[in-house]
Parts: sequence; C-alpha cells; structure tokens
Amino acid sequence: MTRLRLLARLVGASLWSRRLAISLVALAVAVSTILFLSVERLRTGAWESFASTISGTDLIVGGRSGGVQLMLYSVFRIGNATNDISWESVEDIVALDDVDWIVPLSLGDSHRGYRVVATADAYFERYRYGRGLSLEIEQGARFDDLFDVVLGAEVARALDYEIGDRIVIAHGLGAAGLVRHDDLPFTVSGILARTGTPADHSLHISLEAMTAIHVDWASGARAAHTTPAEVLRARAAEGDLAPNSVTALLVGTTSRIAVFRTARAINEYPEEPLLAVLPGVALQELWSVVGTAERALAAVSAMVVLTAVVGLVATLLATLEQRRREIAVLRALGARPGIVAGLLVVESGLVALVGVLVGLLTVLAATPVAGAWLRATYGLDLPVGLSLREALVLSGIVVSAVLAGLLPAWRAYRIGLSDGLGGGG
Amino acid sequence: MQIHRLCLAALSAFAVGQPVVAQTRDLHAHEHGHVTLQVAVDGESVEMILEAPGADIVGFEHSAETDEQKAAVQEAMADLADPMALFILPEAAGCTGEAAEVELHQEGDHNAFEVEYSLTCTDPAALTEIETRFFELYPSVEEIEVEYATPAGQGAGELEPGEALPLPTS
Repeated sequence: MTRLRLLARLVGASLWSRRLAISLVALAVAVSTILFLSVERLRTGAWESFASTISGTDLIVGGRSGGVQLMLYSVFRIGNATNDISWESVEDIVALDDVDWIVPLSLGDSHRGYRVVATADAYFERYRYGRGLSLEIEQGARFDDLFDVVLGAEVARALDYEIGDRIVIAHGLGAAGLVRHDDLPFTVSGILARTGTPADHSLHISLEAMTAIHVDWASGARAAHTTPAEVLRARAAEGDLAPNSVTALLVGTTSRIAVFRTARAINEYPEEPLLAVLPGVALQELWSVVGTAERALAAVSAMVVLTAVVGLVATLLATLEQRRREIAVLRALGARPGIVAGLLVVESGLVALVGVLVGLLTVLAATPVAGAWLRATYGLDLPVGLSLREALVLSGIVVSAVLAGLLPAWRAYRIGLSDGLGGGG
Repeated sequence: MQIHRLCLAALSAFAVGQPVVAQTRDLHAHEHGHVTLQVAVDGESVEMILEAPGADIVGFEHSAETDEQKAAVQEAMADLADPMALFILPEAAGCTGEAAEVELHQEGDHNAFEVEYSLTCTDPAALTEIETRFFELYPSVEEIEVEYATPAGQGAGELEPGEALPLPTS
C-alpha cells in the first residue's frame, strides 16, 4: 500500500516537473477528441436531418422516371419532372381501396430563384418532417384568397418579406424571371416557422392559383388581353379552376401493410406510366449517392484519432532521452526495471485520459450552443448524448495510449544504471 | 408534309383502335439472380412479398413443357410456399405463418415466381432482423434486395448469404 502511494507520488512529482510539455500533449489529445466528436456529430446529424426531410408519407407518386429523381424534384425541389400526372389518374389513385389521403404538388414556377409549390390545404396537415413534426405558421394564416401565398422561413428572411407584401411569380424557373405573371400579383398571407427542410426555401400557393395564373397561357405565352383577377376569383369559387395535371402526389395509405400493394397498383396502372416509391427507400438510395461525403468524414475522424495516439507516443519517446537520468536515479534507489516501465505506461494512459476527458467535456458543453445555431441556420440536428460508438472510440484512444506507452517503457526497461549515471551529466 | 399527314392519320387510327389499354408494350425490367423482397410490419401482422426470376428457381424461364419441367415447377411452388422454412426470424418475435399461395407469371420469354406471405408475430418489437435460407436452396441467386416499412420507418437493404439484415424497430 505504502509502495503504491510512493509510486503515485513519484508519478505526480515527475509529471509536475515536466508540466509544460505534458499539458501540451494532453492538449493535443483534447483537441483530437474535440475534432473527432465534432466530425462524428456532424456526420450522424447530417444523415438524420436528411432522413427526416419527409416522414409520415407512405408513398410519393410521379410520372415514371427513377425513385431518386422523383424524390429530388418532389421533396428536395431539385431538378424537374419529366412528366406530370393527369388529374384523371389522380382521381383513380384517390379511389384505390388502400389510399387514405393524398396531397397534390404542382411545381414549375419560381420567384427570384425560389421554387413555387402549388398544393392543397392538406399539405400543411399531412407534410411531416423529423419525428412527425408538422409545418407551423409562424405569422399570418394559410391561403384564404385565391392569390395568397405562404412563404417558407428562408424565403421571407432572405427577401425580407412581411405579411401583406405583394409579390409577382415568374413563369418557369429562370432566376432572372424573364417572363413574369405580373398581371396577377400574390399577397403574402403567412410565413412558416423554420423547419430545416426544403419547405423553408419554397413559396406555397393553392392549386387553383397555379391554374389561374396560367389561364391566359394556353398558347405558351401570355395572351394580349388577360383575364382580370376578379373574374378568376369568381371562376375559382365555382370550382372552375381544377388542375388538369399535377407534378407529384404525397400519398398516405390506410395501413403499413397496404403500402407495397398500393405502390404496385400505381406502378402497374395501365392508363398512364406512373411511379410510386417509398420515400424512406428513395432517401436511402439517394444517400448512398451523396453519402460519399459522409464516408470521407468518417475517414477524417479515423485519421484524427490516429494522429492523437501517434503524437502521444512520439512525445513520450522524445522525453525518454531527457529522462535517462531520472530513470537511472530511480533504479539506483532500488526500483526494479518493471516498476520503471510501469511508471511510463501509467503516465501515458493518464495523460491520454485527461486529454480525452477535457475534450469530451468541452464538446458536451458546446453542443447545445452550437446545436441551436446549426438547427437555425442549416436545419441540422445534433445528437446530444454520447453514442456507444463514440464512447468506444474514446476508450480506444486511452487504451491505445496505454499500449503505446509500452514502447518507451520497454526502452526504459533496457536503460541500464550505468547508462544514465555514467553519462557525466 | 405528306408523310407527316400520313403519320398523323396512322397515329389517330391507332388511338381510335386502342383507346383503353394505353401501354400494350409495357415490360418489366428483368434481371437474373436478382430477387426482391418487400416486408411490411403493422401491429402484429407482417406481410412479405417475394419475387424471383424463374431462371434462378427452376432453371428455365419459358413455360413448363416437359413432365420434368412441370414437376420442377410443382416442387418449387411447394418449397416457396412455406415462410417459416424460407426465412429465419428472431425466436423472441414469436412469428407464425401458414403456407402461402405461389403464383408463376409468364411475361413473354421470361417468367417469375411471386409469393405473398402473411405472418402473425406475438412480439413484433423483437423483429430486429431477418435472415433467409434462399441462397442454399437456389445457389444462382446472388442478392436479395429488401425494402421494408416498419413502425420505425421505411428503408432498404440487401440480404446476403449467411448474414441477417437488421430491421429498424422503434
């Protein structure tokens, strides 16, 4: 017991005498730990935010193309549809036994680089993200008038719009907006709360409004004499502005069991080539394409861990040369070679442990602050606790530091008495 | 211009002649060695839909002609019908399933077996993975592509010989 205490005091005194060098090594380990944990958190956060872009929807339906493409244009609003779905087909899908609800989406117009999504009221109730969160109106209300528009949070922020502002929608997707529906301006009726999903970057109007602004475009360009807004409002009230086609549908089925059966019924629909995909499946497929970045990040965090351990060993080996004398004195006082080697192993493990703990505490303290900012800016949700994988890697750092300590320990074991004392120092 | 008109006339004649069935030449993609499995879990019921090319199951993809071929089809149908023999599910989930109806579709020169299994599991939360004996029975099958919809979400994966595919559980 007293011997152990003596050893502990020796370790402590030896470390203290080299406090500057040792704290720098611990700092290096701490920085590596912080880097590893941050990269790891961003990585899992990126996947989780991506996977939770859409939830609660059982199927997405569009013109026949590929699942990834359908996902990209209907949910992420990237790229364009090759084909629309005719309204007759939409009615047939609604009539399917297992279909519980649908949300039609009509895309194709834009406003200053942001996509315009024409949809039904049900969109605000049915579109879910994350763990079943629904869209919330932060200011104002949903569409009431035919020419009302509900803005995504980012659109309102970037273009500095407020409730009651009047905006003009461009025909097509040109950022410059060469051809604009300026005869029929929209009024901002509501602004959505930030979600971190593509809804933040979209402008939402009703399907009838989409039809209304294209009424005079039958020939592909606007007719010379346009229909006044009042006439269009009256026609909308009569139900005269039902769309001929939509770009995509979000579909909910009556039970999970029915999902695959419904998808098959839609994929084999004889009247029109359609595609139904499970959003979860398409997201995974898409992630396997963009996930290369994730694997690169994983490689980076592995390198970071490796650097920490190598640095630790290098430092211990380097100081060993300067400590020949200390070791020789210990041996002269009767310490067996095994004890001296043990001291070095314990020291190496201890330094790594302190470094890892400092890094871990820093990250745990910083996560809530950084997390709030990341959620607000990028819609990234960081995991808060310590995952099993992270805990394993961190204990791996300490264990490998102990193992790595064996190398200098072995060298110290071999340093003879005469080696250190005879040097004349 | 003349030709153009002719084409239009031919097209409209075709349209008039075939008004109802729009996609008469709509063929499904067909890949040997490639089997798909769809798994849906809802409450205690688990439904699985399996689709496998005939070439991998019975070794030919035309319709059965000889007695030998007909016997092979009969045997395959019996083998494919039993979900408990074909799939390995965690014991704790307590799944039971009766023999399913096996269908053999012929589409042109290709055929495909299709089976819909309905299982009941006493503890669906324990349904954490799925494994199959398919590869031992039909060695030419290279991969089984799995799509699933469980209470914990949707996703996809691949079943490989001797390896269980983890399923998400909430």
